[in-house]
Amino acid sequence: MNSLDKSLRRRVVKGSLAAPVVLTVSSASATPLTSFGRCLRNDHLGRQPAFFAESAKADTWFRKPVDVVRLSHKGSARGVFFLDPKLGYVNVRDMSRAGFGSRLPEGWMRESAGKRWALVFVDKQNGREYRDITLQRPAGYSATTVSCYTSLRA
Amino acid sequence: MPDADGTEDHYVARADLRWRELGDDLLVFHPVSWDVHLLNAAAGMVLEACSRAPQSSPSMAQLLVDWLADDLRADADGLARSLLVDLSELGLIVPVSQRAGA
Repeated sequence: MNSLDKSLRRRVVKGSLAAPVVLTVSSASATPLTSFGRCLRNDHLGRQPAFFAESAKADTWFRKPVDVVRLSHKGSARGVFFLDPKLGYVNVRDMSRAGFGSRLPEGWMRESAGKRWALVFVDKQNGREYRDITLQRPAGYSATTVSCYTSLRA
Repeated sequence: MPDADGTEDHYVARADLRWRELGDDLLVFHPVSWDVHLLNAAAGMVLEACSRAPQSSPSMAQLLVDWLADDLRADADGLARSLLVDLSELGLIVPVSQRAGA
């Protein structure tokens, strides 16, 4: 049933059809994933939730926990950072980049480790989760990805 | 819908759709959204055409001119544009440049 070319719809008589109509059918068993699919189409609303959230402030976006570290420079606290696989250390509060990669320069120290809840991005074309949690574009997430309200477990 | 250069976008049906006939209508299952859509005969014929070859709004309108009842043919252009938007928003058709599910 994977090819419309095999359809037997040729029996429809030309010059007889009503105006085209497309309806979406509800199904109780499909409801959770249907809402997920609807979510995938909602990005035109332009909603951009905070990329990182603390667990105490869990929201309804599709998130998963990621490791973060509290960094200091020469004894002075510099904030909590996420080691983005593409951007290096990024401050979870204002998305500013520390300016170095995974190796801390001299004078920088990891004071403690913790967790934050990061948005999970989903490929709109195939519904698959992106492999890496990455900030994409901190000032405006990539147009090809979207994170969703969902009942799916991360 | 025309591009910036005035040419018409062409659309194809997602290759991974699943469907089943229901009388003259078509039930279509979208494997990513898990939505099931019911298309009447005219909409189903257009989706079917999109599965065979890329279609633009004008080519969809031409199909509808051939298939619609006499009193609807004058509205074929508008009906085609509206149908294209519906099918596209539901993810049943995609621009040729973004073909998915192949």
